Order: sequence, then C-alpha cells, then structure tokens
Amino acid sequence: MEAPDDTRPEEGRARTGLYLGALATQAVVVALLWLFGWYFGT
Amino acid sequence: MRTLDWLVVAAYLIWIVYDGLKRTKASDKVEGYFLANRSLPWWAVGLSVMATQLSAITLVGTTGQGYADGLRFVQFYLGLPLAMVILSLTVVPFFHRAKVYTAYEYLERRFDAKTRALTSLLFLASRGMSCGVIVAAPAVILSIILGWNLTLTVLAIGVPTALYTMVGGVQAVTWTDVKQMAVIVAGVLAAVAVLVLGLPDGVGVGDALHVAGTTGRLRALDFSFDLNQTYTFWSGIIGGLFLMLSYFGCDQSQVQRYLTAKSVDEGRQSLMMSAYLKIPLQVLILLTGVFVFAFYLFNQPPMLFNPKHARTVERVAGPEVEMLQRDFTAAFQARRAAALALAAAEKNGEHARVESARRDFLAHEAALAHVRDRASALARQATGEAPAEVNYVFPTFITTRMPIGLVGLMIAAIFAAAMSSIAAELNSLATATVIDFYRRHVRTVATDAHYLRVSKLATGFWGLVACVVAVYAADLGSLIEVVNRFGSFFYGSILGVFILAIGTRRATGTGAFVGLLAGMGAVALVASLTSISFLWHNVVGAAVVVAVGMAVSVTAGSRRQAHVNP
Repeated sequence: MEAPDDTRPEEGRARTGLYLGALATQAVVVALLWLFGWYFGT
Repeated sequence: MRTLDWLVVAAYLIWIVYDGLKRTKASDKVEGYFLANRSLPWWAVGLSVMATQLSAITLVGTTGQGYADGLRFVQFYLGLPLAMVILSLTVVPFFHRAKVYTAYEYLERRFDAKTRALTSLLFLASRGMSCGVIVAAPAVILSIILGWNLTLTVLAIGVPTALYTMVGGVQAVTWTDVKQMAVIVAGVLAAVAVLVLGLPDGVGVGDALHVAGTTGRLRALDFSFDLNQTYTFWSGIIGGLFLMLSYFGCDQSQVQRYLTAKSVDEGRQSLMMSAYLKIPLQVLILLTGVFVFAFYLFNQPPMLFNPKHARTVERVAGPEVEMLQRDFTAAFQARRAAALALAAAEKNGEHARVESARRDFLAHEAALAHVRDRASALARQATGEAPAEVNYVFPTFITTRMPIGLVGLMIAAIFAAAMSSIAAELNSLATATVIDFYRRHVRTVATDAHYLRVSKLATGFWGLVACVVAVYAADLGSLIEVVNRFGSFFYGSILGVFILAIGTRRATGTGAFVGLLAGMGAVALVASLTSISFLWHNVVGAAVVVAVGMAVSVTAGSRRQAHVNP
C-alpha cells in the first residue's frame, strides 16, 4: 500500500509537537508516580 | 437508596435516552448511521474513545483494585501513549483515506475476502460475548448491593442503551458518550470529596496517604523484569503497547469511533486525547480506591463487603461468625489506634517514633487481614463461590457512606460507564455484521434504505444477545473469565495481520490467513503450557503471525516465480 500523502509542513510540525508532547507528558507522569510512591511509601 | 437517589438515576436515564433518540436527523443513510457522515469534532470523538474503554467493570473493579492493591494496576496502561502515536501515524490515515466502514474491510482490499471474514468473525464472536459480560458485571453487583432483581437490572442497563443506539446510530453513541464521561468524572470527584471529608479530625490527606503508603499501596511502579508478573513497568510498556495497538487499531468498537471524525487530523487528535488523559484518569480512579482504604482505616468497614455472602455466612455459621465479628471489631479498633498514632508521628515529624509506629501499624493491618481471610474462607465454604470482595468495596462505600443524592449520582455514573461501552459495542457489532457479511455476502445489491433497516435490526439483535448472555453470564461466574481469555487468544494475532497489511509489501492473503491461525495456536499453547502473564500473549501472537505470515508469503511467492520461470 502507498504511504498516505502528507499535508503542509507547518501541520506536520504541529503533529510532531502533539506526539512528542504526549510522550513527554507520559514521562513526567511516570516520574511523578515514582516520586509519589517514594515520598508516601518510605 | 432513597427517593432523591432514585430521582437522580431516573433523571440520568431519561436525559441520556432522550439525547440519544433525538439524533436521528443525520442518521437516515447508512453512512450517517454508522459513521456520522465523517463529520464529528475531535473532542467529542476523543471523549467517546475514552468512554468506550471505561466500562463499569473498570470503574468498580479498578477502585476495588486500588483499595486492595494500590496504584500498581496503572502500569497496565503505560503502553497506551506510544500506541496512540503509532496508530496516529499509521492506521488512522490509512483507514480514513481508504474510506472504509470497518477495519476488516481494509484487509480485503489489501489481502482477500477470507482474511477479512475471519478477522471480522473473531471480532463478532468475542465482542458479542463480552458485550453480555459488560452488562452482567455491574448488574450482578448492583442487584446484590441494592437488592434489585437481577434480570430487571440487566434490562434497566441493556434496553435503554439498545434503544438509543438502534434509533440514533453512531451520532447517538458519540454524543451520549460525551455526557456519560461528564457524569462518570463528576461521580468520581464527588466520591473523592466525600472520602477526604470523612477522614477524622486532625488527619489530613497527606497523613492518610502516608499511612496508606506504609502498606505499599502508593508504589505504582515495579521495574522487575518477570514474565510471570502481570503488572510490571515492562509488561505495561511492551505487552501493554501491543494490547493497546490491537485494541485501538484493530478492534472495530474503537476504530469506528475515529472513523467518524471530520478529517484525518481530527481522527488523530481524538486518539491523542487518550494519550494525554487516560493515565491521569486511571490514576484518579485507582487513587479513589486508595482513599477508600484510608477512609476505612478510621471508619469500620464490613467484615465481608459482598452482602449476599455476609448473609449466607451468618445463616450457615451463626455462632462462629459472631465470634469472628468480635475479633474483627477488636482488630479494627487496634489498627485504627495504630493508624492514628502513625499519622500523628508523621505529622509531628517525630522520625524516631515513625519507624516503631509503622511496624506497629503493619502488625495490626496483618492481624485484621487474617480475620478477614478467615471470614472469606467461611464465605467460600458456605456459598461455593470465590468471594471477589474487591468488586463490592466501592459499591458498598457508595451505598452506605455517601450522602443522599450523591448515591444516585454514583449509581448513575456506574450506569453511564456500562452504557457508554455497550452502546459503542452494539454499534460496531451491527456495522461488522452488515458491512462485512450482509452487504458483502448475503445481499450485495440493495437500496440504502434497505441496508439502513437491516442495520437497525442488527443493532437490536446484538442488544438482545447482550441481555441474554448477561442473564446467563451472571449465573456462570467462570464464563466471564472464559470470555476474557478467549479475547486474549487472538488480540495480538489480529494485530499481526494488520502489521503485515500496512507494514509490508510482500505479505499475501494466504500468508496472513495462515499466520493468523498459527498466531492464535501459539498463544493457546503459551497460555496452557506456561504461566507467562496475559499481557505478553499479545506480543507472542503478533510476532508469530508476522513471522509465519512472511514465511508463507515469501515461500509461496518464490514457488509461483519458479512456476512462471522454470
């Protein structure tokens, strides 16, 4: 199958930001969960 | 439940059914009925994606899990954000631009009719059964907690949902999902507020969390790499990634949500909403369970949360239960005193006293758990059923500790969680039935009005199946497990077929078909011969399908080549 054609560069940049933002948010949430467990669990 | 609570539940049901029924205008053609003419905004689709995933089993079972085990279960969702990014880059644009109604329709364009038929059939079999379980699970719990008739409870959940889904199609499903998410979140926040306000004077939220944390309930992450452990950081990140890829990318009940979005980009944004919000929402629900635990450190809980079991045990072993109840009350009082002492030591920063207070509290916690275990063993002996106490913790808290009016709101939230998942499933089951089988194999040429009529009948049919399965599933406890296991046998394997379809050029229809059968066989073998956790089954299934599918495709391809050029 053909890869889907992409849209304008600025839309591509916004999408990349959206994806990286989600992964960064997850990294922050995981770090906060670890800190939470460390602070209240020890 | 008091009159005001009944009124709240009735108002919720009337509101949702009315809202669903009025969505008929844009649903007078098959594309409108199943895909809302691909016109919905990303935020509504995103909320619908989240509401579909969040069933009543999740709401009630997860809070119970938070109570019993803490935040650990959140690891199950760790693969979700990455899965959403991958799906946004791959299947969302493919499905949108292919203008398909079902994910399986795409497989016929890429491979052949038999691969589409088998994957769609597997979806119908598993979702048809699981839809019944999704109705049954909250119906059983609500009927036991509130003393309602089970069949009537099943009908109270199933009939309104089937009605508005049948009449309003996917528009009704999506817009009611938006409202149901609001009811669920409002209910959970109300419960958290009641729990926090229920802490004794002098014990703040931080103190209560410190005491709960002493039992390990706030340690969410387990970094050990143990394939037999169900919830670890790695099983969540790797196994969970494959599960979420399969659920959101290959399961029609989710694919259909983002096919209704206005554009490819809005479809992507709807999935990304879950990438941002799902884990925090799940933490909130689990944390609610932890707060229930903290609440019951200072307010006496029932010895058995399942009231049906408590009544049976009392009837069968009266004197023994009385003695156990006395032991339980004494153990609770001792644990309460130890919890207060620990909270005071933490609050005052008396580090020297904190350690001994902790040891004291843990000893009393173990003593209380021991009495509860004895009660559970009695319940198992008397009823012949596994106690499944975790499922009754949150509903018991709601009905016995929440103020008037909020009980109704929480019951409405449980209804909302069940109905939002069921509606999406009924809608997608009807789509697969009509598009993948009826229109493809039974009546290939007919008017749009005819297909629309059949679609509504198919939705009603699946609603009926869900209610009938729910009534039987309620009696056969093990059926729920069978359905869940059945699903896990082919989830990863179907993902493997889509990886072959989208990720490779050389894979053939026969290769994908044989690979799918091999993948399901491999997962069945792994499940029966090893104790490897089910999250890893998805990895095994997908890997075997891709390996066997490619091997068969390449071998068959070179044979054909040899035949053409001897």
